[in-house]
Amino acid sequence: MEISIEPLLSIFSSKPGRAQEDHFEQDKAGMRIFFRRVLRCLALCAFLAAPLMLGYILLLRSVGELLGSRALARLSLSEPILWQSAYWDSAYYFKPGIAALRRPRVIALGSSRVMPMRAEMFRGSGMEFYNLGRSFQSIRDFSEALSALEKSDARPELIFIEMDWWWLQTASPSPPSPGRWRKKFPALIEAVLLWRERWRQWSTSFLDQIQLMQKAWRDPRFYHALADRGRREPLTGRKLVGLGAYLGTGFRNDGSISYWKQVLEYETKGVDAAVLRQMGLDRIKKGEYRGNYIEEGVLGRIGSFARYCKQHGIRVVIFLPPVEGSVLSVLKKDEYASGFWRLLAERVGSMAREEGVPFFDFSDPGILGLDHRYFVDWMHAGETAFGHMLLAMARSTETAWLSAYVDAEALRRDIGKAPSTYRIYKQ
Amino acid sequence: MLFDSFAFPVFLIVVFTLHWSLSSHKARNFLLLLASCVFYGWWDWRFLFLLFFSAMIDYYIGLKLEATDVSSRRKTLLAASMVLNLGLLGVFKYYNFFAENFMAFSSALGFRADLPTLKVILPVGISFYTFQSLSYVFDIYRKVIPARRSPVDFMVFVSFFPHLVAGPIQMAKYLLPQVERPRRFDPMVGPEAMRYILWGYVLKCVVADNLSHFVDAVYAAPALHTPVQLLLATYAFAFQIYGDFAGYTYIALGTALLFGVRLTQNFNSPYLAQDVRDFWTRWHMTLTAWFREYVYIWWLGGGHVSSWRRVFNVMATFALSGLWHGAQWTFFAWGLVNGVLYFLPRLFRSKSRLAAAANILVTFNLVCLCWVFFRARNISEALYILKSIFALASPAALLRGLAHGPNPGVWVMVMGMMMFEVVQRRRPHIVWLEWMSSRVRKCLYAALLLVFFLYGDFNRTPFIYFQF
Repeated sequence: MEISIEPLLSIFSSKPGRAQEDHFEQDKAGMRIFFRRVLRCLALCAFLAAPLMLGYILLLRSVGELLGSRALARLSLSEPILWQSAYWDSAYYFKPGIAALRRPRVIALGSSRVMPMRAEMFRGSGMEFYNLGRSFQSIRDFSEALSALEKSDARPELIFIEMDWWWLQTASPSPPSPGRWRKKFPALIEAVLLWRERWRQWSTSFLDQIQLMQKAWRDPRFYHALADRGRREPLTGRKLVGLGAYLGTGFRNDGSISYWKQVLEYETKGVDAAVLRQMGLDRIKKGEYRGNYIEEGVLGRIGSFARYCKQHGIRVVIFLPPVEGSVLSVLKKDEYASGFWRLLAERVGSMAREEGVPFFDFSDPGILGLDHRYFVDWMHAGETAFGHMLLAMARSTETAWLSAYVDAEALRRDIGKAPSTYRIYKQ
Repeated sequence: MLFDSFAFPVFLIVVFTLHWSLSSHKARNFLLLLASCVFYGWWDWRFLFLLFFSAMIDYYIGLKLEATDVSSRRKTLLAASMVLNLGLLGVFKYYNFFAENFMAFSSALGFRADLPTLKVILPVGISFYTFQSLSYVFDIYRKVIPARRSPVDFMVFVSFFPHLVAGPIQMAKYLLPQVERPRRFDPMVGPEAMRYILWGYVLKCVVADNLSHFVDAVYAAPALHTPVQLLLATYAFAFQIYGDFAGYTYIALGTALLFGVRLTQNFNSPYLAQDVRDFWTRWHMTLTAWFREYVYIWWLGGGHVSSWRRVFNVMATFALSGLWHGAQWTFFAWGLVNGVLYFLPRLFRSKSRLAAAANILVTFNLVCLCWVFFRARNISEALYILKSIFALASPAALLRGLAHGPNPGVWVMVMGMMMFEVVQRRRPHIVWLEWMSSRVRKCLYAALLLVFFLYGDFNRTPFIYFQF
C-alpha cells in the first residue's frame, strides 16, 4: 500500500477555479470587515471605560504613582523627596533617567546592598553623586547604564561597583563552561541575550504598571495615602512620592535608600540579633547560595566593564560589602559553598589587579569593627557601615586620589556625630 | 504557548490574517498545521516528535484497517493502535505511579522489588490528543467513518491548536469533515467567536486565577486551616476549576470559530445540575462522551446488561475516567465516588422552582465533596479535609468564617458568573449573548474588559487541565 504525498505537494501547485476564487476574495473581504468591527468595538469600549480609568489614573498620580521618569527626575531636582512606587521594583525603571538629568561625577552601581551610599558622604553640593543601586538586573546592564549616561553627555568620573557574591556563584557541581553556541558565536549570542534582556525588562515594567493599576484600588493603603496626600516623612520631613514611600521605604534625591520606618523602629525599640540573622540562616538551609566555583564568565564581564571605563578615563573601585558576621561564618563553612568563599576574594582581587582597579574586600564586618547593630538585615549594611567603608577606602594609599571626591576628615566627624549605628545623617 | 501569554494574541492575529489571506483550502490547512506545530513546540519542540509519531501511527493504521476486511487482521491493527497510544500514555503518565505502588505492595507482602522510576516530563496535552487519535481508529474499525488519505488534513485534526492541549476532545466523525471541507469566513460568526474568547479570559484570569491563591494556600497545608477555611477553599476550588477549564474551553471555541471550525461544547452550566447524573451530562461533556461511547457502550456493553453488570460498567467507566485525570489514587477515588453518587436519585422530584433550587444546592455540595479528592494531594489529606468539613459547628460559623476566605470581590465575580449562566440557560438555542440588545452588549463588553484589566491575575497560573 502506498502513502501518497500528493496532497502535500498539491498545496503549492493547485489553482482554484473561478467560483472558488470569488469565495476566497469574499473571505478576505469578510476578514477586513471583521477587523474593522473589532476595532470599532474596542474603541467604543475604551470610550465607555475612559472616564473611570482616567479618574483612577489621576488619583494614582496624585499620590506619586504612574509618573514618568522625567517628572520624577524634575521632582528629585526641586526639593527633598522620598520616592518609591508600590508593587513593583521601580528603581531600574526610573534611576537611569534621573541620573542622566543630574549628571553626577560619582555613581554607585550594584544591588540593593549599595543603596545606603549617599551624596552627603562626598564633596560638593549633593548633585555630584548618584546611587544607581538596584537599577540593573544583570551584569550586562552595567554597560547599558553607562551607555545611557554617555548618550546624555553625563559620563561620570568615578564608579563604585558593589559586588554581590552570588553573581559569581554557580550552583553547578563542576566548574561551568560556556555553551557550545556561545563558544562558536560569542558576539551573536551576546547580542541575542541583550535583546532578550531588553524585551524582558520592557515587558516586566509594562506588566508592573498594569499590576499597580490592578492592585492599588483594592489596597486600603491606597486610600490612606489619598487621605494623607502631602504627608511628609517623620524623620526628615521629605515629601513622600509613591505608595511605597508612604509604606516605609523610599529613594532620596541622590538615589540612596531610606528605610525610615525600619530605622525608626530599630532606634526606638532596638533589634533582636537572632531575628536579624535568622532569615539568612533559613535561606542557607533551604539551599540558596550554593556552589563551590567562581563564574568566570561574569568575572570576565566585570573585568571588561572596568577596562572600558579605564579606556574612557573613568576611575573604578570594586568592593564587597559586609555580611553579618555569624551568617558569614555559616556560609564560609557550608560544604556546598566553602570552596567558593576561599576563591572569591582571591579571584576578584586578581581580576582587579589585572585591570588596574582598586579592590576592597569588606565582606567580613570584623575588618571594620561592625557588629549586627550596623545592619538593617543580615546582608544589608546600613548607612553608618557605608560611611566606615568609604572612610577606609579614602584612607587607603591605593586610592589616595579619592580625596578629590571624599573629604575623609569631614566624613570621620560625621560618623562620630551619628545619631545611631544605622544612620549618619539626620536628613 | 499559553492562551494567557503575551505571545498568543500576536500569534493568533498573524495566523488568522494569513489563513484567510490564502487562496487555497489546502494551503490554509497546511498553515494551520504549521501554526499548531509552533503553538505546541513553544513549550518544548522535542514533544512535537511524539505528537507526530502518535498521529502518524494512527493515520497509517487507519489506512490499513480500511484496506482489509479480515477480522483477525483488523483486531490486530486495532490492538496495535491501542497498545502504541496507550503505551505512550502509560510510559509518560502512569509508569512511575504503578512502579511505586508495586514496590509499596511488594514491601507490604514482605519481599523487595526495586523497579527503576523514570525522570520524564509529562508532554502537555498527551491525554487529549492520544484519545482524539484513538477515536479516529475506533471509528474506522467500527466502520463509522472512512480512513483519510490526506496526512495534512489528518494531522490538522489531531493537532489543531485551539483544542490541542486541553480539549475539548473532538470525535473524528465531527471534526474531520470540518477540516476537510473548504471553510468560509462568516463575519457574523466573528463576533460570536470574540465573545467566547472574552468570556473565556474573564473566567480564567478573573475568576479562576484569583481564587487559586486562596485554594492553593489552604490545600497546601490543610492542617493549618480551620474547618471553615477548608470548606470555603473547597467551594472556591469548585469555581476555580470551572472557571479555569470552562475559560480555556471558551477561548478554544472562540479561536476555532475564527478559523471556521465549530468545536463541541464542553460545558452546559454544570453547577445548575439537579443530580449527579445530570452533572455528568454537563461537565467535560466531550470526555464523558468519549468514555460513554468507547468504554461504557462499546467495550463494556453499556446499559443493556444485568443490573449488577450495569453497576460495574458505570463504576469502571468512572474509575477509568478518574485515572485519566492523573496517576494518583485521589483521582481514582474521585472517579469511584462520582460513580457511587451517579446512582443517587434526585432528592426532590417536584417540578417547582423551589425543588429545583434545592436539588441544585444539594448536587453542588455533593460535587464539591468529590472535588476534595480531586484537589487533595493524597487520600489521607482528602479524608482529613472531609472530616473537618463535616465537623463544622453551624452555618453561622461558615458566615463568620467568610472574612478569612478569598477576597470578597472574587465572590462577586463568581456570583456574576453564575447569574449569567442562569440567565443564558433560560434561552436555549440562542447564539451566546445575542439575546441582549446591541447597546447593552457593548456596555457589557466594556465592563468585562474593565473587569479583566483591573481584576485579572496575569501571574500566569497554569491551566489546571494542562497537567492531564
